[in-house]
Amino acid sequence: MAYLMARPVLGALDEIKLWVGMFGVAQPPAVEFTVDGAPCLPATVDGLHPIRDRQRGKGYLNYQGLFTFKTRGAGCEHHIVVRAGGSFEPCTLRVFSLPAKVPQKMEGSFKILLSSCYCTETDEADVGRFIQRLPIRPDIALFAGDQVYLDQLPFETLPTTEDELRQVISSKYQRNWTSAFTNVASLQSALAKAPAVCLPDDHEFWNNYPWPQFWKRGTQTAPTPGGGVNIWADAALEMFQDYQVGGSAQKPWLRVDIEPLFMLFLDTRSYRKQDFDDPFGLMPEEAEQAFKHWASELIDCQKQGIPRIGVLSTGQALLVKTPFFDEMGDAELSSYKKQFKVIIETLERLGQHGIQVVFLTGDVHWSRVAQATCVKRGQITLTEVICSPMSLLVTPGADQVARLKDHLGSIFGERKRWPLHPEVELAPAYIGEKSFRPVGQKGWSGNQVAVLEFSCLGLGVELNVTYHPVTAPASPATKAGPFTLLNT
Amino acid sequence: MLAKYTTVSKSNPEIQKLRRKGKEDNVKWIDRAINELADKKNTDQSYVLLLGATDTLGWRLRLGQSHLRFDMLPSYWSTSAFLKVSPKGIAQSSILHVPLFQPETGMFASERNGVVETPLQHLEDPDHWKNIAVIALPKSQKEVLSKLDQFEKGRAYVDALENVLRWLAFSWGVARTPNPIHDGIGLPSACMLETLYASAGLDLTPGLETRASSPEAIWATAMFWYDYYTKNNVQPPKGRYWTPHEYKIEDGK
Repeated sequence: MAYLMARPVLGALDEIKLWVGMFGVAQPPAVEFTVDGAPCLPATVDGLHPIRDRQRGKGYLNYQGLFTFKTRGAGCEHHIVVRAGGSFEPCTLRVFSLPAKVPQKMEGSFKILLSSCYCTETDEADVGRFIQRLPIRPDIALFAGDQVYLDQLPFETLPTTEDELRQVISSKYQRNWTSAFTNVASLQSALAKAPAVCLPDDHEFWNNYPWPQFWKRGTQTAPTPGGGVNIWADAALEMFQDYQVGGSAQKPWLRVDIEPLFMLFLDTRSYRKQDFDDPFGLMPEEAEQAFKHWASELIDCQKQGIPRIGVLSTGQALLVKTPFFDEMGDAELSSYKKQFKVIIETLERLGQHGIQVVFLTGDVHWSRVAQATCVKRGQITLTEVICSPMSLLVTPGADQVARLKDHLGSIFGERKRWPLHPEVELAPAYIGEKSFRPVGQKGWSGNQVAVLEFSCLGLGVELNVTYHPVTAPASPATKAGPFTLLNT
Repeated sequence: MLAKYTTVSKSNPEIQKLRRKGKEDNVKWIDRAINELADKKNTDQSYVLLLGATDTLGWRLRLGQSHLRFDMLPSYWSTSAFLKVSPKGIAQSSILHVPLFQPETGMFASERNGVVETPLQHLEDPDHWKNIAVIALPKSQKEVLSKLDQFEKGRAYVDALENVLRWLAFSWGVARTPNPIHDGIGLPSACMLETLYASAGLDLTPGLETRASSPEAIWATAMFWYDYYTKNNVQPPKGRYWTPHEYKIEDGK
């Protein structure tokens, strides 16, 4: 069966960008668009590209492409229909263009939907539909990593031939991306909620990528001609690019500014190295340059008396302990000592200038809002918001033990609402070389999605965070904030 | 939260004492202060009033804000208000505020988020309102007032009536109500001012939550945080004040 799927992705302020996927067709027909009832040609022509789920030279059956359109103006609703000949059901979308700037407090807010870690196998609440039905319209959606778990289920063994391996990975993506067609619970509706940016984390590859996991066949290092870790890694990277990013020109960062927010989304996973001391162990040089450029622009604005707030996102958290078992277990950003030092020193420089930064991420399987003082400045300049997971992965053994503990515990007290989820961790006493000192934190366990609301307040910004537990039927949301983010 | 922490060594030179002349009432004093503060080159400014009453309620409110001061002494100020300058002159002007005692008649308090417009004459008595200050801020009256309707209808953003009840309960000593300042609950008129100015793009108390504002925080910002405005290309506040009323606490002086 042939499917046509489209979803909005985050682009520039004056454009609407669509990722279009066409599945189950050897020769893709031309894609046509109508915007608000009138035929419309894309502003950029990049066309459709094969999804690289087969070896080069064999016939492709799935295609993807990015198409951009000029908006009618900021914050406007656009009714878009995507068509691709008679053999595909047209795809209908309502997409709002980005606002020109963050609204003043009493006039509304700029909303970011933050989510991460989606495991299809444990999704009992239908996360996609849950997000779609949230009675709030986010301006953008940030999927902060692990949108697919390529290494789940734990005892599944992936094929060893490249062709089969690519098809298995692609089918995992299709399960999550095209769930509405196959009528299974998954992410498709969530992806259409707002223009989305997807960052990768380890499970876009395998647990603790790029470090091999001895119990998982196929994760062992076996360099490919292109310099990849192994054929699984090559296939996973290409599939991440094809499904989650799209188009042909891809870079490991995305910068979008919505006054007064300078937002930078960094891929700190796809190009990780098996060397914690490599100066570019977390991200390639061009991503680091984008990060430094973002910081310099924030400082320049501050010096000119035009206060701007930094929003930074990666697939892993900042305010967490460095693990002891970083190769075997789960390496954190701080495990990569050299490049993490660059990140922390840059954030510290921003802190010394009194510039506020909001750090957004997922990964850890609990949710938390924490603030940290820049020690050299003596003021809170860093606010980290973590939201994880949407649905928890399966951990054989640990899940059964947790269930048993919960059952035994229930003899003397109440059962836990989320017995399998780990407890929220406290931030360590310091981050970096005593660069930041966490000062306040509030956390939640369980499946959650968060909505961050930014409103302008004087020359600063007020941030409120609402966590929505992913349950069916819906449960009451919990809130953190308001946090007044003011450059001083 | 101590509002006076700042790296500047001197208080704002643009905020100066203005002695009350003999038996001059507050309206005449305000008139004189406004005349001194008026900027013919830049007419886009508006005025905030800070007032310190000498009665028991005033004492409770001034004491409640002492935690915002390093010296822990009672604040000079028990309330604040927006001065709505009339084109006919100061004597015909009025103030906008959220009084702790809401009027019995007229529109129900919830329909206007507690905001009341009162003739300026209400503040005339210099024996009751002994301490007084006028702070001039670089936003036009029209721009600030354009946000008033949203504030009155926007209890979802800042519910000033919650602040009214908390401060009344604290002032009267009801049900062991703790000092609202410790819970980030400011004085309602100051929260109104904070919200109106913030919506117009100006911070009255940088870094402080809107609902936590207070006359003491506005005063400390204007006096000691003025370089925040300079850094951000905004004209710092100007002002005139007269604070003859202090409580007789003289240790350390």
